[in-house]
Amino acid sequence: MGGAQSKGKRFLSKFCIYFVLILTSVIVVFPFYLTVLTAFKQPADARNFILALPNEWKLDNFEQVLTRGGYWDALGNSAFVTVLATAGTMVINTILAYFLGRNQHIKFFNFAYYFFIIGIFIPFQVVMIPLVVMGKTFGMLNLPGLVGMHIALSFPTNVFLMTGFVKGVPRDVDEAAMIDGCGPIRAFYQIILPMMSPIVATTLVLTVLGVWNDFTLPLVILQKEKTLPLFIYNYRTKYITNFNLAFAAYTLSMIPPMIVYLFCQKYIIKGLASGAVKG
Amino acid sequence: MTSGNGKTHKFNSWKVVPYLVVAPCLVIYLVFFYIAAVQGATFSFTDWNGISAVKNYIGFGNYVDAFNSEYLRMTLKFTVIFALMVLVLTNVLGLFLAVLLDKKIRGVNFFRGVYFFPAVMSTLTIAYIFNQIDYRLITLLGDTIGNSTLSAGLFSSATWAPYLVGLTQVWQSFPITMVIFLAGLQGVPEDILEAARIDGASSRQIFWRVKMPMIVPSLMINLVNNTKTGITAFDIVMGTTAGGPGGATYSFAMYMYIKYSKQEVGYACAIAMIMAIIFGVIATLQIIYMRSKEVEL
Repeated sequence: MGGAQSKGKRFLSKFCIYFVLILTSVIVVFPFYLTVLTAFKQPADARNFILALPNEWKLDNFEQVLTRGGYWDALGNSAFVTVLATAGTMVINTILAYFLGRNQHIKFFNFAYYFFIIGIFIPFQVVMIPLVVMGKTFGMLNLPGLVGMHIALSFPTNVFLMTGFVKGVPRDVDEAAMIDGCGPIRAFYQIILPMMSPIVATTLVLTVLGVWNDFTLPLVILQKEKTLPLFIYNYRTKYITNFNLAFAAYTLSMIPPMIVYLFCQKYIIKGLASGAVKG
Repeated sequence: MTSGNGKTHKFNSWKVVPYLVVAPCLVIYLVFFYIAAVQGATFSFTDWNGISAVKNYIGFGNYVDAFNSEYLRMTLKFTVIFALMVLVLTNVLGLFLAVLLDKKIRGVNFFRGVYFFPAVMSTLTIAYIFNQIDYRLITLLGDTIGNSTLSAGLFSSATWAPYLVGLTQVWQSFPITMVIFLAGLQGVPEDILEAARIDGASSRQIFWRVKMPMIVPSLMINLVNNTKTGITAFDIVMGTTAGGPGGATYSFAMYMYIKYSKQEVGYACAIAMIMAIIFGVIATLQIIYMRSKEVEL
């Protein structure tokens, strides 16, 4: 008797879990569904219910966005900034974190560690306007300048996460390399960096997402060029009346991260998880 | 002791290279962050408009103006509502879903994959989409059931807009929070759970007494992260309401940006400083509290 009861109970609890999981999925997917659906519609479809399928599946809206909005320029600029800023961030922060983590007993490095991570507690807005002023002085109000500022502002989070990880890598590894006469740079790239791959994956994901989707820094720094979020921002003010067109633009702006995500899903979630907790 | 004669210069390189790597980074960060921050603080004591060569020091003038302004009061009110919603709902929802996904049931990977979608999208795009959902769907609902608040759109209601902006942010923020909690839960060693089960602990006891203390590091990251999202919100406000109606959804960053685009740079910097102080105090308190709860593995 007891067995049957607990079986029924277990079924009920499983049912509840799936109910919650599916309901949450619907809430997550619904806005995307609506966006893509609306992007395919024409103004004539407005007579029908908003959630109804379009009368005709036409790509006209996408075509318009792609041909007259400057979408391709924005996509190219976003890719340029994301690739260079991410590469710079990863190259500099990994080796920086290695030397910080290994030399904490020396005052200078201990000070440097805190010097970087205190930045986590100072919001970007405090430096926003001064960065524009500096950018003007140094000729940095352009795409390369944006890349430089992304890298300069990347230290706190990355030093925090990576240094924590480096401290968990056994010291005898590099001591052995040192005794074998291997220099610190080579020891780092050949021995330590491969061992840091979980935290590199985490920070890589966070950096790519952060730079690609960033709106505030390009908004204040860039004069003429546009990144994808700026393109969306301008597009909206320009075409506020034709919301089918606006949704086509939103859909197009979602496609690049969606593609990357679909192909690297496992890697992204695992990468985010593996390092974040040990940090 | 091991420093043999032939190897002296190698040992030097281990001593010297770290300085050569760290020092330039320090200088870059000093210039682009700390000097910038000091500059920002300095601007906040001036009436600078961002263009002219003259800056007049007006002491705490901007701060006095800010604290006498109706808008700062609205900003504070919005920030309290928004930040509390983001902090509480995101963490509760994130932890709850992480606990469900930590169970060994079919389809966990599928759900985890679906839930993460909002996190890869730009906040601005998401905000625009929710704005349109409100404008097209909520108004339709209001017309159908004859509710005038709904048919005007919730983002146009000074009462409801802050909550709806908060919900939009929660919708975007919960995936990363969930993944970090999930990683924490999966990092709890199996033998500890086994020992607790053998000692006859119920699953509720295991969760609160064993798992919770061990995921304090995840909790700490999520708390600080979501506090920052809550207090420094900008994109989400820009995309959903742009601060309206009538300033009811002014976040600090939004208020600051509006002042900045009106060329009131000194005032804008003062608002940024007020925000920084509030965030700094809250984050410090959170960390001190969480440190006292931490369990070493």
